[in-house]
Amino acid sequence: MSKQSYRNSYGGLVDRSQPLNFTFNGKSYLGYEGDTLASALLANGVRLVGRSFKYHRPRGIMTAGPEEPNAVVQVAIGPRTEPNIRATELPLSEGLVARSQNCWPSVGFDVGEVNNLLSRFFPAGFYYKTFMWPASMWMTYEHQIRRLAGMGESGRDPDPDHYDHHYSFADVLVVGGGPAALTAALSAGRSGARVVLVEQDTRLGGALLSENGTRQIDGKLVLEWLASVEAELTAMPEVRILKRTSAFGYYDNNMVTLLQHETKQGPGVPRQRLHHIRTKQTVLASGAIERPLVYGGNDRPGNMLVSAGRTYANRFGVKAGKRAVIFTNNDSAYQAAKDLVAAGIELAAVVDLREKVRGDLAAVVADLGAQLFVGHVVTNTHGRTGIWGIDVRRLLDDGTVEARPLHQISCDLLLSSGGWNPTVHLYSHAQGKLRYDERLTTFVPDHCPLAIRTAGSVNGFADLQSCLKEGAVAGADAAKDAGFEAEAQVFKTGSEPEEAPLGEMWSVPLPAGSHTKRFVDHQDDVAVSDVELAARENYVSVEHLKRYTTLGMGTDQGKTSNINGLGIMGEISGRSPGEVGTTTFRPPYAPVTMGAVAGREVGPHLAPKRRTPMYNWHEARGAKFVESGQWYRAQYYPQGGETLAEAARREATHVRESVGMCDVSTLGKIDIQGKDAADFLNRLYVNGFAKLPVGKCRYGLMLREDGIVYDDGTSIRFAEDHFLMSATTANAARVLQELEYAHQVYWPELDVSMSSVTDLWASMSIAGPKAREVLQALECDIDFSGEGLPFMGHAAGTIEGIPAQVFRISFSGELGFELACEADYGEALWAAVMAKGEPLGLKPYGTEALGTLRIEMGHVVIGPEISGNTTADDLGFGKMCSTKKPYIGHRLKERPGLVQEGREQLVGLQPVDGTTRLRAGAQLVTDPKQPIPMDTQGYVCSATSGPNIGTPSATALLRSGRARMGEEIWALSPLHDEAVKVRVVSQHFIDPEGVRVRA
Amino acid sequence: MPEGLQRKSALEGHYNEGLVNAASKEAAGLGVSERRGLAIIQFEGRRDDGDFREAAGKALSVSLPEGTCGSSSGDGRSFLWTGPNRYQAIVAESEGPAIKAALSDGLQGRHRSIIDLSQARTVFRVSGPALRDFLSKGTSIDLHPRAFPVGSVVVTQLAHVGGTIHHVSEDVFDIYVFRSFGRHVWEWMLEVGEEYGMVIEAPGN
Repeated sequence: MSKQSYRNSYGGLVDRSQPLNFTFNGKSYLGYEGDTLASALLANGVRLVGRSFKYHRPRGIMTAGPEEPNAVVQVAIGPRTEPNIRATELPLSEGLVARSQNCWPSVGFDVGEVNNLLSRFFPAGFYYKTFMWPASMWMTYEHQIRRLAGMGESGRDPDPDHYDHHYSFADVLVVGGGPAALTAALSAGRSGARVVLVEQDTRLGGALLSENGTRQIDGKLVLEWLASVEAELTAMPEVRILKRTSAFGYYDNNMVTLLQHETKQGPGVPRQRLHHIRTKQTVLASGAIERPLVYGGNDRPGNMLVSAGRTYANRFGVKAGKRAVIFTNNDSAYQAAKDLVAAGIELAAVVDLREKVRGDLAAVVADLGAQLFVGHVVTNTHGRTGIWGIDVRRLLDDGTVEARPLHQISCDLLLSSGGWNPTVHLYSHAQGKLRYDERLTTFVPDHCPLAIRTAGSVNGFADLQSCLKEGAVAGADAAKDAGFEAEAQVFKTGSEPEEAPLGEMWSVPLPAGSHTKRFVDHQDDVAVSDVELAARENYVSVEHLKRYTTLGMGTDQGKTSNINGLGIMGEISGRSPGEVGTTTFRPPYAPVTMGAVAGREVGPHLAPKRRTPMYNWHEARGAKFVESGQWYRAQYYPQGGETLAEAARREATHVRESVGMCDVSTLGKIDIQGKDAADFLNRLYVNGFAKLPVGKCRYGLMLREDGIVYDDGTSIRFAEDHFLMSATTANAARVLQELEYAHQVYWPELDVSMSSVTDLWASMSIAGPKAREVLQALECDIDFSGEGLPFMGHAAGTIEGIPAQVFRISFSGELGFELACEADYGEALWAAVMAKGEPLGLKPYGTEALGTLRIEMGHVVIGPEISGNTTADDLGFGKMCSTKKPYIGHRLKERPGLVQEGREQLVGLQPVDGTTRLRAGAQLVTDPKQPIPMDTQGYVCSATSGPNIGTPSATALLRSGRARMGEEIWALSPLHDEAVKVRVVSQHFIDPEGVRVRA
Repeated sequence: MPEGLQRKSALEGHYNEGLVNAASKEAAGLGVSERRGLAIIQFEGRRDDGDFREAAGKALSVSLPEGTCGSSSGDGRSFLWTGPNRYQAIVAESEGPAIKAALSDGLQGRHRSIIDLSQARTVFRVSGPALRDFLSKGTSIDLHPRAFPVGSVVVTQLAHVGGTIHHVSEDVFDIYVFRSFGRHVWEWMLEVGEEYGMVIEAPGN
């Protein structure tokens, strides 16, 4: 274990009493509580952290925040592994394991580095140009390219952690945790508004945390002030502070998505939370990100942003190098110079590309004992996996550099600052428009249609006093617009001298003859030469520039590169960056895990599970369940090692020969009441319901408005003004919706109300020749005889002490009774019937056997036969359609296309050889040898082995089918390479006269 | 209800009273329980019947909530607004028949639908300081007391199924879901509520 040789024994916000062990690329290191992975690596002198995307060049930590393009790591091993984590954001934790993402086989020796040697053959657009042909090979190329591209890996095993979603609300959402954000939250919070403050860091303070802590706000040292503000906010009951949380998307109606990394651990605590927060007002105080300067050799480990070097020194007590040079075009870097020296870094020089520097700043450099080069630039760095020296040259008036004199300065750290870019991503998500600010040479917020205010350095450069003021005012105004009385309290801080204009320079010229690469986008390896190439090939539009060069398309979303890229393109094409414009920022601001997006809706929780009152009984009996919509229905009750087909065959045979009981509680049930209820049903069903006698059931068929069959089911009339309608299990909710629509839109004058009562009833179908015998064995006050309870009749009474209803209806074609009782008694009634019935042969049967029985009867169901293409006549219900009344669909069912000759009609099919099974979906043709495309005349809807028919049988839709009885045709299933000769028969395979059902 | 006949909850076999991730009842952020033994009577009139609320209230000798998304409570009974001219009476099981009869008699001559949904719902009572954080995982309704004060009712989605949420008293909510989804919602609650520490109380009414 190496010691932290770059760590100071003083300074910073790390807790040196709490050492943490971690592993990076297989080596063990020590850091402290309060470190990020990046600061701990630097403390240990680890400079090389990854390889670049395309050329596999050695790369080091460049920033200290979410904008990091290089230090992208894969964290953890095994199923918890997560790629695309920026080391600069990841809080160090005990036992953390991380590795470089983009290198193979190791960061020190990377075979992809050969790409760097060949880099002049890998310019922008290389992939587009090279892997275009042969097109069929792309699949092969893509695999290799992706592996070399280092996109990270996901674990191969299920993620053991879980993730939660939250729907949250706020009057004022504050994005950021710096001085503007905190004062905004205070002003809004004091008004009593519901405030949510979102900070991506582990602590509040923003840029203040990177300072040396000597400044004062409101008469307090910065850290004390921060603590007092946080304490006040925390004490407010309506204020919520979310740390380690990034606002990554801003959507219509001020809906903002937040990704919260949970810092607590414990049972049930998710790893991350995804919040959908709906806010009335937003204060965007997201700050600004420093922009690097673009010079030769600017990507070697040791090149870093000035702000990052300062943050590591001040916040973490870490020296990012031993001997540093600062290269800047603006005043903000000079404060950093002082801080670096205070942290024990030797400052070799400050190189300022401007011709003039304010006297007091020049004095600062002199006091620090460093050289000051004004009007000079850094043109190259020397080294391989680190820097050992740099070249400094004089900048000439014509924009080139002087070859001599060349100042070579030895250093291992080169910090650059090219100005600041406001973090406007969310503003842009919210359709906010940006404006190019010539003085700041960057894009700043202009106007936005959504309720966003901006405060602090997101508006461009802002000194601390402006941040404090803008935040307080924005917070108060936001609270006022959310309906609260608020006042802005502006905290006072010391004044700062006004900054001189920065020196605009998008890329530092190379000395004549030099071909050193100057990187714009470090993550995606886009160099100045690539932008120049794009311009030469006329990809001058910002959208083309992005796509052609991949500028800004990495997981860092170009946070350090976009504006520089636009500036360079502007220079080449003679436009200002404002004229070049920006691409639109889109969510997510930072990568979001798929786990957070999925939330709890994984595995068995993918969809809600709906259970019947008898679910526990089926489970105890060993039933296998099948999903039907959201319902879990007993599909079959296997005995011994029975397969599904064997069990269904046994159960179906048993029903025809003896008696079985099936749980039919899932069938949709709709209670319909009102004096116009009968009229209402009469308008919905094709057949008449107005004159249905009280106490009787009737099968009904419903059409869509376009004349196609919609649903079917049996309805019972309980009283003159009271019906119970049944609907297909998986279609019930839609049928109820349709009924409500018809009532509310077409016929609001009808006195009728409807409500779902599916869940109120436990229903069981008892079917088979011995059904009556079973029922008569029950303790009960109902007459089950043919006279007492005729087919389609209804009776109510008490069965085994339970209030129950009996309907004489049958789906299986056998003598059948449907028993129903209220849900909480369902299991008791089922068990009582089973107890009395089993000695008489009663056995449970599942939905698979039920399906077999209905196919044997030629009954149609939603899906195979009621397919959304079939008319009532197609299904053989033509005569059922009333001619005496209008009903939904009655006009459009007469459309020429729906009544023409040759439509597919429902028929039965049986194999001519009497044994070959048929397949649902098989296509029907007259000549199996005809050339493709064949003239298909229909298809098989539902097929059964026909346990009670003695031969495999199927329902089918066949062109003019009813006129083709006895014809022999072919059922082809090309997927299975099957061709079966079949005979067209009636689909009513069993008991076509309905004798059994009326027994 | 006949003598000796016991209603069986949808949570039968999956209801374990006690503490989940909490050292004591007081330390638990959430209390959850099933409400049993309730009668839930839904009654509804024409949407355009301007006197329906008054007439039904008169029939029941109570004042039904005015406007939308409200409730009225007293004497252990609650009346929830669940739609235009649609209400649900939540009363003790023994009171159900009387409520039905009173409505049936009192609303003679005007359109009405009266349905006993007692056994069509599973009812949960949830309480405790973590209540809103907990429910924010499953519903997109703002349940803050300013937006959803005591007495409020909302028919919405919870844990991806339809449900009714009633703010009974400070930090106490009742949740009504379809009985067939009862166990799904229960298991969902036990899972997403674990982090707050829970006390699963004995079923009550």
